Amino acid sequence: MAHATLSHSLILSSSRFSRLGYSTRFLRHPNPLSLPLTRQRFRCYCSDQTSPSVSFSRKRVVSGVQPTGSIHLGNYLGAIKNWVALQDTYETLFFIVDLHAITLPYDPQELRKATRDTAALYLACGVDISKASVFVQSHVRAHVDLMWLLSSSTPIGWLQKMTQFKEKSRKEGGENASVSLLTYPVLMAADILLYKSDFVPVGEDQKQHLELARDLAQRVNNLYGGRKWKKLGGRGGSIFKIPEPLIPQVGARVMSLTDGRSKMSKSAPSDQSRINLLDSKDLIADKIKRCKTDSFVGLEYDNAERPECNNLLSVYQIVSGKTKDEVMEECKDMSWGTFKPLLTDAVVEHLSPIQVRYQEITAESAYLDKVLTEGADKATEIAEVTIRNLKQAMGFYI
Amino acid sequence: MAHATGLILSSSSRLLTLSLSSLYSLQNAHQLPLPPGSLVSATAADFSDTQTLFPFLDSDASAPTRLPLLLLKRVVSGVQPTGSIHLGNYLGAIKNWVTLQDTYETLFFIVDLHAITLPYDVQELRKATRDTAALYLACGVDISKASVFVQSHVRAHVELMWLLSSSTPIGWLQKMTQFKEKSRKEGGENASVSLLTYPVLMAADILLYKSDFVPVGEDQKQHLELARDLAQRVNNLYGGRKWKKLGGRGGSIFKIPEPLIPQVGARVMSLTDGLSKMSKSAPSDQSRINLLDSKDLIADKIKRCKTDSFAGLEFDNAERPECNNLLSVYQIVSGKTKEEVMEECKDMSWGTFKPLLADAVIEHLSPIQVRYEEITAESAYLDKVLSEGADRATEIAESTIHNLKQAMGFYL
Repeated sequence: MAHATLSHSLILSSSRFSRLGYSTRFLRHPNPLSLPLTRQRFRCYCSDQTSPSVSFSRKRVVSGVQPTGSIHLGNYLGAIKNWVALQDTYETLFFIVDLHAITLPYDPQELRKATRDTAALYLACGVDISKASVFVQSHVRAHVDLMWLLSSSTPIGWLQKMTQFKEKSRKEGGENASVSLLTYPVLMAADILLYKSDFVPVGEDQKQHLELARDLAQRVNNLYGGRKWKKLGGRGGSIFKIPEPLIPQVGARVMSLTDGRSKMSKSAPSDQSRINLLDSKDLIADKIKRCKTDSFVGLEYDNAERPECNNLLSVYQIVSGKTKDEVMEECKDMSWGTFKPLLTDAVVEHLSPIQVRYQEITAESAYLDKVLTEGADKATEIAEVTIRNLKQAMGFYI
Repeated sequence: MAHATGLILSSSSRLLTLSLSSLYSLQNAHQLPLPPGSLVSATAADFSDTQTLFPFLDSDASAPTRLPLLLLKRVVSGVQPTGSIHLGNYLGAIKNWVTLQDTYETLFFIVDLHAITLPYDVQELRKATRDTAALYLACGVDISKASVFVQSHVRAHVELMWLLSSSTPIGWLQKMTQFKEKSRKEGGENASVSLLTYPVLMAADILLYKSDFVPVGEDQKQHLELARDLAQRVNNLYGGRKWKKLGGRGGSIFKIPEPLIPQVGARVMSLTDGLSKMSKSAPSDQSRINLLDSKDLIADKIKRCKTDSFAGLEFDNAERPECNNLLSVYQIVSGKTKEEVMEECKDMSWGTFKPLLADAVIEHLSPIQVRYEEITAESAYLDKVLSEGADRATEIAESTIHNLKQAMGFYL
């Protein structure tokens, strides 16, 4: 997970940046109030741009977000924080994947709220709608259209091999699992290919799905593209762009507060194991106070016997914006009793602007509706072209 | 009075003698084997006197019957874009559409999204889609009564397919006979997943329009069962009080569709093998009469078709399947009764009967061919018909989608 797969990947670790001579002020204080972050903050090595506003030359990144309705620190430090970064260098589109959410048993009474709350949280975390598009997957009809068209070129065998499918369907009782769990990756491929995405940020658990999307895109290009497409009046060449993965760098893997060897996760039974972005000051303080530590003296990184220590120091490093060295300097001789309040304050301070902004957004329902509508409109513009091209290449009467 | 062999429309006997249909058969429009005396749909009796129930049906034909449509039950049928139709398809299903459209609100659509679930000819799909629609119009589908459209033009179909798929257990689909057969032919795992989810899209086709009835042949009965089960399941999971809590109407989200079982009489056998159904997939084109075959070709095919060496002609002799088939075809296309045909033909030789049959078939098909030429000569006309059909379908479909999404808790 620590490797950059391409020279194009963004490098987001603050220590590396300061080594390169760039100010790390941005990373220290992410700006959820959408003040423009100038290009001096960090540089993308892939494009040669003079201005962040020239969107047509920018590479495109898409990401689907589950409508969990609540986000924890692991999600945030692992992914969302990086969105704020990506939107300055790429044209970013991201969408709440409500159509994916229904592939497993879910609460219909909560879905609407969860969808909107998730969108609001992303905006609160700093997604700037003057740069990025935010929308709800089900609001753009092209997603299911493309899903069906792609499914006619997806061998059943490819889907049966997917690890996520095997695991999740087993939990649902094998044959009783809904077929949408099997076709989940096809809808995900549609999400990606619809927007001619250049890059897709993926974690370990989605790598296989991205591979499938790439294979599917290639297969469709072979089956229907090129001269065959030209014969039907099309442009010829490739129908789909083959997306590349964007693998996040180390530093954003946050472990559970109650088990240093497991990732912080929403599905862990105890809420004590995670810090939710919307947890109150007191709750955060309490969770950190009670969190698992060890009986070693002092604090240190990278000791395999001290996973909790490594985790908490890493979290402190990221939310405070300090370098690893600075943190070591500051904390190596601290006791847990001294460190914990320090960590708490740093986390609370980091999350506070997000919480304030979140309250503002959710107080005004019409604002959020408007943002999502505009996002969907913009997405639809792009998506409709892709659908039309594919239908033409597949010989449909359009 | 129910005719065993087909339906002649007259203002005094608008009965629902329903023959076989070719709904959704995967490769070609199959006719269905049913023993004599099969059940007609239970509701046929309800409409024994359509004049009383629907007096407006006799009203001025130039006025589109939009308002009264509210009172009519709705029938949907999907048609594969084969691009060519043979006599078996026609006598088995299409001819009956002309019937159904007077008594039901009929919607039917060319299922191009289903066509791609198996390997298909990409360069031909567009033409096949339009030609199929044109043929149906040529066969008498009246757009002032029925809607004709292309499945892919109504976006709600795939949307409902996805929503339904979240409530469809994989096991239900793996059990489908058609899936097992077709996927085996495609190499098992290599078959596309759309072959597996085919019945879910079909269920969407049906449920989208709150269909009362769906004409099905043997090969689609299992799929209709699945659609019914799925509708029930969704109603249980998301309907009723739960739906009301989300601001909905409550009650059932979907209407459970009933099958419309065809009556015996429209099973046309191959011209080269009296024991097999006339079919599009049979290797030799001699085995079937295509609706657009020229006079000469029809005469030739009939001249060469398989007969027997018995004297005279008769129905219902198990040793003479070809004879039964050809007499039945003659009966249907000439509009005569079984008795009249027996009277006329029982002492004929094959040499006398064949030209008689050929003429009757040609005469029956001639108006269809003429009309077909008219329609396909004017591309804009067909485009317009299909576009209006899609608009009408979309109206109905959108409200169904809205209801389900609301019941499933979506942010609309």
